[in-house]
Amino acid sequence: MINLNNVNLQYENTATLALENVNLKIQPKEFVVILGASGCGKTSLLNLIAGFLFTDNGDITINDHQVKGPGLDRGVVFQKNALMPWLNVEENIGFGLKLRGVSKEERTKEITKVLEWVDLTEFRNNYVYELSGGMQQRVGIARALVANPEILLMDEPLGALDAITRQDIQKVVLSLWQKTQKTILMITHSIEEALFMANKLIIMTPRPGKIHKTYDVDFSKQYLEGVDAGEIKRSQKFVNLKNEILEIIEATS
Amino acid sequence: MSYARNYQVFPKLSSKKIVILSVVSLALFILTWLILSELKIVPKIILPSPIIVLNKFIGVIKSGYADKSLYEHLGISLFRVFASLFIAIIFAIPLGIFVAVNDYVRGILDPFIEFYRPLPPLAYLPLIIIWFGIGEMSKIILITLAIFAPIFLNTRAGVLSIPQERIRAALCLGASKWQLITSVIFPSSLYHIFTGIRIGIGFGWTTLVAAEMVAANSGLGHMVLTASEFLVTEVVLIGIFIIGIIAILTDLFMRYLTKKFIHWHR
Repeated sequence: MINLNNVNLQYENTATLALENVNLKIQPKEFVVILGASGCGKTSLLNLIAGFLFTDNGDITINDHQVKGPGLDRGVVFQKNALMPWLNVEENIGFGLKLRGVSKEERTKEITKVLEWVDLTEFRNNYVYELSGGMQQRVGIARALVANPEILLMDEPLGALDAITRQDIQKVVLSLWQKTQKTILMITHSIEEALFMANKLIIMTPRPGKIHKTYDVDFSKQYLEGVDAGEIKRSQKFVNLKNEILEIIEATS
Repeated sequence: MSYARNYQVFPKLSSKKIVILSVVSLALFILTWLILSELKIVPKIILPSPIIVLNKFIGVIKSGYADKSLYEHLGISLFRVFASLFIAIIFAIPLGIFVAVNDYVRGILDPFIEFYRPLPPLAYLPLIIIWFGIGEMSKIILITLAIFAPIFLNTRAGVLSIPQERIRAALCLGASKWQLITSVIFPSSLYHIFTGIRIGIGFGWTTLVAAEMVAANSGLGHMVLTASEFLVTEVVLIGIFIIGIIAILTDLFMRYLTKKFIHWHR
């Protein structure tokens, strides 16, 4: 369980708080999506949980342990630039395993498993620069999952992709969530993406960055139960909610 | 059917046409040279004809110049440059990395490196001669110092240009500090390092020839200087030609290595 208690974050040389009084509890197996305009502190929040960023004001714990830096219990998927361009797909995915001294056979076994999950088996020997943006992101996701972390943190993982690829990967991520039962925290600035993927949707607003509203949504559950994604996104409930959130974001940014 | 063409403001040619143009340009240059020297428009001491130069070249290959064979001159010059390059690489790459990642190291080394870096090597050659004499040692030290700066600076720039996400990703995957350096920072900086080595070889070659002209009794620079003292202009031209060809060949080789080993950089 991720627990943030009265977290405040101030950057040097800025007037407003990057995060003001943030309280957040994330239960195991939840898919939490943080949505907000730029400057609302959503990436800072993820970086605090990932252990890339620290604040003395407030408590951040994972399973009651203070976050003291990055750890293998949290896998992180970045928006871009995080793969090793000199390694091929297989070596990229196995990068962390190799660093930790996992044997070659064990590595190959694990890599083969996650390659299937993200549907990249036939590209295992390609270099990452030979892959499309969407495939590169799937490598990033596979690399984070192969270490079997408890929590998956995703920092606008689909932000650099075109709309069509984006929808494909949204579905990939949802099915992986169902398959692996990970706790997922994802950041996005796309309202539709947030609504479609989350089971808990958090709206953040900027200057100072804070949590404005939290929604429990079940569109991802509907999708995983077999309802067509397009049908879900066109449904009245989805559209109404989308408009409601758009109004909040427009009014506060 | 003709192929698609881009809208162009400046003249563009196919690469084949550019090569043809270069060959024609070079041929015209040699022809002009031939006419100017053979018709005695320019005196032989100033500009010997290409035919004389070519004959002398064959003579120098056969019997050497300034008490040594051409191969000895060439060999000692190459040795000085590549021994220095080797030493410079051994020091410059680790130091470049540590200065980039560790602010203590940076703070301690910065004043010295920042001062010496823009100094022309020939400015401190006299000091090196006072300290180390005029033997091989002082030449190798001088050339090493000349090569060190570009490799060091490029390594540092390479490390500093690594995307933060890549470092963070490796940390999340359990990389230790040392693994971060060997498995992420070093390979990420390779392109910059190779560029630094390429520039370094150029610097080294420049410095070598200058140093051999100031204090040496062998090497291509020494050969050229001796020839100029006796007004044997054809040997001066031969020396310049050899120095130029070697510089081009080493640069092509480095570019080949860069392409081969840093295939991901485009």
